[in-house]
Amino acid sequence: MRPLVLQLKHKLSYRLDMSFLSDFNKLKSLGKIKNKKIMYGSQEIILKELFNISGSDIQNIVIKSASNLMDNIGKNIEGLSIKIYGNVGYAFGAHMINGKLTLHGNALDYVASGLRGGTIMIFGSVGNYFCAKPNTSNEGINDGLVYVKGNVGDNSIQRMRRGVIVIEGNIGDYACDEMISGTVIIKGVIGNFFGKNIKRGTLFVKDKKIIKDYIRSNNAEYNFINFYLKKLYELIGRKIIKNNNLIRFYGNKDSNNVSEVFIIKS
Amino acid sequence: MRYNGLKIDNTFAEAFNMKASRVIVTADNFKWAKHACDSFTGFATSVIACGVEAGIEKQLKKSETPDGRPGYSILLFSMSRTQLEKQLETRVGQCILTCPTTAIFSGIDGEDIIPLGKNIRYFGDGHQISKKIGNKRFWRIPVMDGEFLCEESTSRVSAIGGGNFLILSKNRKSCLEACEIAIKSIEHQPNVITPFPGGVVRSGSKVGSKYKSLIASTNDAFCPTLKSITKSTLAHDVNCVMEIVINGLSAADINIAIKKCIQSISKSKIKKDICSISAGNYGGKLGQHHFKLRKIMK
Repeated sequence: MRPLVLQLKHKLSYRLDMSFLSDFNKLKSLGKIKNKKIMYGSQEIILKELFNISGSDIQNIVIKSASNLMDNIGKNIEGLSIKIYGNVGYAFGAHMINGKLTLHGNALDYVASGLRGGTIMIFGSVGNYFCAKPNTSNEGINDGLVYVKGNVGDNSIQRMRRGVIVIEGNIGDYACDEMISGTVIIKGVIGNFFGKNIKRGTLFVKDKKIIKDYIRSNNAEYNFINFYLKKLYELIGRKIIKNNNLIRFYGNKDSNNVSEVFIIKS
Repeated sequence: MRYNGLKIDNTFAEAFNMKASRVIVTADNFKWAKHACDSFTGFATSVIACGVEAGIEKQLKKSETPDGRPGYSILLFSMSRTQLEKQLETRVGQCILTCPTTAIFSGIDGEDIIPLGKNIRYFGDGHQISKKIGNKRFWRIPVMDGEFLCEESTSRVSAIGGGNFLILSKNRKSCLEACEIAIKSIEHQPNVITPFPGGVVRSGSKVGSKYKSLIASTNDAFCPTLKSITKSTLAHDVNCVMEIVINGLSAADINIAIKKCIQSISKSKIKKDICSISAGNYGGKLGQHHFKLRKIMK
């Protein structure tokens, strides 16, 4: 079966809420999808007025020539695989339950906010409030894997509960705020005010400036590192940390911080 | 029926439905992985008194294990889910957690999830760290050599236990040698184990006993020393009988294993001393699975 391809017929004039993608599982037939009613500006239109739609595999969706006016792509999706070519708007992959999103472009703010599972691969950069705490919840991402090849903006990764975040580029200020648990890998430069009130979790970073509040751990061997990196390689399809020469720092219990930091030696 | 000159009796092995699970034990080297596995599969020959039947399924290369270290896969069989869960946790806690450098992972996927390291994690006294990758959760428990890594749960699947065949021989030496040849032939076969010491049983049992408190007793029909005083099934020239018990994840796996074993004996020089190949059963009324020797060897 060929994937379902959505291609814009003309340039968008207004912001478009793409959260209707999560309904595709229920619609099941191509005819129903083409005639699905959506809001565009102040008007109600049917989907085929805006997109050329082809293909038949509803589980695999390709969005060609996406626009940064397209918001909420992948919001609340369950079991869908969506590939997007081009830049996208706000809340990309927000509240996603499971499935896979692959973005070949950049995204605006609130990417993966309130993520509950699944995999998000972004081969570009993202804006502020990446993996942030949504207004409706007291926790940030709850599970899942997020990979960003480029840079990440400010106020990212708030109150992360679990899951894995991999950032190949730099991250802005106020990152990892009140982190509860999970794993974050940052290979680039880290902004100011990192890890405020961090509680637990595992960080793999290259930037040494965050370790001033941490205590150097001994040189004990950790079975899990090789295993973990091997698993990540299987999931992401690329070696994130080539050098296994890591130095471990551990949090200070007096400050309520029992997170651990592995410094990646370059 | 004769298979390659080896006499195959017209009988069948009677086997039972069981529940099974597979775990993978790794360590820094094969030596320590083996120590852990030997300990884990110790006292696990029969569900009658051990609670679980367990054995090393095969040796795994670095490339075959989840953490890229050498290891072994182990199969465990039990009659009930409760026993399987209990034995698995106890054995992980006492034999794998305690063994230097080891880690343990689930080796089987299924819908019925049972705990592996779920409760062992409390040994970490609050210092344990959870890591979730994909759908699987792992626990890092601080121990004196660093960390013990274990997967939170494994799966339970339906399986068959008690597939068997008997080697009837002229003397003990040749009987044991034939058993060793047979066991070696299925050393690398996946999905099966031979839970008894060295894979061989000498104390085959029948149901019931003259003593009321016993549910099973010696299989006198196959005891060469009792030939003259019991209703023996042994021919005049049979002086030693040994049994190979095979547990497997499916009937097909056991069929293959039995066939391989008998084939290997039939190809060896020792077959001149083997009187026949038979099988243990309880009249066909107790076990859900019947492995007919002649059908397997056709």
